Amino acid sequence: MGTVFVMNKRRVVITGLGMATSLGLEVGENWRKALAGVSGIGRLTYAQAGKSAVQAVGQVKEADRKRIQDAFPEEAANEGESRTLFALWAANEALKDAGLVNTESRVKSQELRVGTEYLNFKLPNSELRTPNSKLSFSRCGVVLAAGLGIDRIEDIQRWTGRDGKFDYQRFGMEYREVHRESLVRNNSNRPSALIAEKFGLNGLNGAITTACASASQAIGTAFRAIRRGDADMMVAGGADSMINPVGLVFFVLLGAANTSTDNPEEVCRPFDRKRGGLVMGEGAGIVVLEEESHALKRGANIYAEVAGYGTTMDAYQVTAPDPKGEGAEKSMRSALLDANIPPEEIDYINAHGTGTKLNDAAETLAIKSVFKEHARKLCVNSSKSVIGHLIAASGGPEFVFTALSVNRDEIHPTLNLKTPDPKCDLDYVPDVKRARTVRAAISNSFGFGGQNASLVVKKYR
Amino acid sequence: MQSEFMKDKVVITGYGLVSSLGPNASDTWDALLSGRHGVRPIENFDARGFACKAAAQTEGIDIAGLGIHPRDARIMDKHSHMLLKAAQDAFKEAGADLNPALAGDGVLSADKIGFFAGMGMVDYNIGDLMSATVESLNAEGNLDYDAFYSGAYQDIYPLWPLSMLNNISFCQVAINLGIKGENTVFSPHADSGACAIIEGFNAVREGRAQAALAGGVSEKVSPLSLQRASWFEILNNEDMLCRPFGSERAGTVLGEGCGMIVLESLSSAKRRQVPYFAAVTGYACAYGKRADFNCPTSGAVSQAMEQALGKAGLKPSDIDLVIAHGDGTHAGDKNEMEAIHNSFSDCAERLIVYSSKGALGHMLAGSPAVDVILGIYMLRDGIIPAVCGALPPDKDVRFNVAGTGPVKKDLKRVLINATSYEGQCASMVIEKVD
Repeated sequence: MGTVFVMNKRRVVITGLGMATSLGLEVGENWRKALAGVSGIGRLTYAQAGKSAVQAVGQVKEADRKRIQDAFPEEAANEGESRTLFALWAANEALKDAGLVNTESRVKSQELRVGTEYLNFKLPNSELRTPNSKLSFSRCGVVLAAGLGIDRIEDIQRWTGRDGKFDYQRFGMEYREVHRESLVRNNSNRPSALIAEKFGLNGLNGAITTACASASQAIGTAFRAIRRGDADMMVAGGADSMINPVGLVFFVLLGAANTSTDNPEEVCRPFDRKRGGLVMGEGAGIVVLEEESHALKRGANIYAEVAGYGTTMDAYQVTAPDPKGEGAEKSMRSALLDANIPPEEIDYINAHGTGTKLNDAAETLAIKSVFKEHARKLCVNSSKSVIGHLIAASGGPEFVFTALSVNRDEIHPTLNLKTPDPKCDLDYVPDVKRARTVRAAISNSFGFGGQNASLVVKKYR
Repeated sequence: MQSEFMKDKVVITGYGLVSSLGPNASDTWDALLSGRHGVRPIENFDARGFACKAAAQTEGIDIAGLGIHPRDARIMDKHSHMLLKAAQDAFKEAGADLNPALAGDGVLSADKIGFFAGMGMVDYNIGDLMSATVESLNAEGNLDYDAFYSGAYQDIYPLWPLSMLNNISFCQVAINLGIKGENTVFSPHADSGACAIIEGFNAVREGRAQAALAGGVSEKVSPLSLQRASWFEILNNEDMLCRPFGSERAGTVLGEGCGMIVLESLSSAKRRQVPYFAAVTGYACAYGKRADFNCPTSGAVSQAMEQALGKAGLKPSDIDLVIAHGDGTHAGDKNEMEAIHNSFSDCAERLIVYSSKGALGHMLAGSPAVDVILGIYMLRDGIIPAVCGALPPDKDVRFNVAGTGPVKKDLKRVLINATSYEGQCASMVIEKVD
């Protein structure tokens, strides 16, 4: 035991990036703004939420929502949830970026359904077509993060009588009338299925539900599937939104929400001594992962290589992270071992960095335990200071930023880090972007309950 | 017949099962052999308004004996209890207890034990939000969100949000058993339970875990789960019985239950001197959704089965038994029949097909691991229980559906199918180990 036995040496590369965040709908726009220190966080505009204790959020702009709806009119009409549309947008962007779908003309929804014709790539030697399978892309799949299963209380009010009692019998007869956007109408595997359907991806398809670790675990699961030979191309990442009535009180109840009334742009302060809890964001971050030779044969642009993945559990308390950060430490160690990279080659860590007292101190401690003196030489930042915490999807856009840093040797700043905390004493790239060679980087995600995930991205050579 | 794919076999060294026919594996097995099913009228809430008022629900789990921390009890619902019970049984059976005195020479490190589960949707209990909702109503009985945000929400128990994350029960089990290794949670349908076993299998095979606890748990049958299933038009609203591959099938019925298995390498099991029950030798996943019904295409089901066989290095004729997804829906079963006919073309006539859903209901993410465990019993005893409700079988069925009573047959290799209502499919092969 001890060492990780990798069955074969297949390498996995990143060939497509897609995003939808409060900064915008294009990856380039997200990257430019993040580097320039532009915050996507602003004052809550969600309907009827004027009295919400949470007022600072990273919402996808109204005009951008409209753009997504216009791009996918059929889904906008049929799918109740905004996260499903975010997922669709980001997956489409990532596939376009990877050169796997046509970009010349806007293809109508009806034509999009003919996935195999729409996808303009050929899969040399990758087709395990079985005698009775008519499916074309059995070695291409989708793994996405999925979030919470409740978003509003209209469904309770709808069947609650004047006596304050829920009418179960009437609910049973009228269940079809649940709120259009109610999550009880939707399965967590709906977005991954929809993307597979639209683009004709007939391989592994799944939804990961490990709270804030979901998207990183989805990418890790997809990476492993390609590396071990179960797939050649995977669409992976996550989409989520908890900017809804239940979501707005969710972290307030848990005491983790940022309820500051200061300028919204300035309240998310990861690693700052005055950090006051997490700020929610919404949107999606989805990538295309491909087996190296598959990408090379079709001449794809390769951003970086996914070198390793590790995941651990705190087994500490479901109500709080382990303050010593042992699970986080082992998660990074395990990913480094999986990647077969010495800690000294890591130049950058995209931290989980939620801006809560406990997380940021424990994560800093974990980084110092793994990297020893090298911890002082590497850069750490928090994308959540820019776009907020995308909850189940958070690992998605953070992985996109990580890949871009490895590809372009630039690291976006951590915003609002003004007052140093003696417990958080690393180089968090405050305020101003950093230009430096990034040979390899880690993206961390730690979920409520104590599930930790780390992904290692390195320069493709 | 051993494929290159398997260097060191991955075997099953422990299992735990909770179902409507009993809070453990042996009770469930005995009840299945005696031809019983677990479908009863729903009593935990007023289901009279729903067209389908019955489900195969679990009872009799000794919650006090689960060792739940009082701090966590309030955020643990029935799905947590089922998961914890099955996981504890599986761990005990495998001797994988972290207590060094129990584990003997082969002490397993907490960091080298993996944990993977398929879990259903987590539905809120209406009662947990009732007070906050009522406090938010204005004089006309409409929701006043100002009232909700400015105070009514505080009627919600502060840790209630945790109970809404389906990984929380998973983490509670990890704490209870001291598991700290590789992990993930898939959701919500049957394919997710199979994906969890596949991830556990690979974690062991690739040496990332010395042992892995893997399986899945159903949703609790609740107004919301019944609502969602009704929405998907999969339930038998007529007489509320599930009849896999039967000519009179009219839909599925919800089931509660959980199956968890312990996977480890054959060499590790031998080193620890623990018994092993079967080997997992092949798997595959596929996607393809029928446009006209909430189920996969027969092509996707075939693809998963054929690639799983290919991975195991087997021909269709090497399979003695298929434990089908067989959920008793008209279209779903028809598709699966077609897929089995196609993939087992020349040997379909001698193939036996079983489905546990007639007796145990549709346990969604819980079904595949339960089927693996039932497969272990079938391999061990050489008996296949009758499929509840399968008689008379669909007139187009070419394979053998055991319907009259248990069939005696020496079995070596079993193929297990799991599919979702969104089009995901997974298949696994388990084999007897000499």
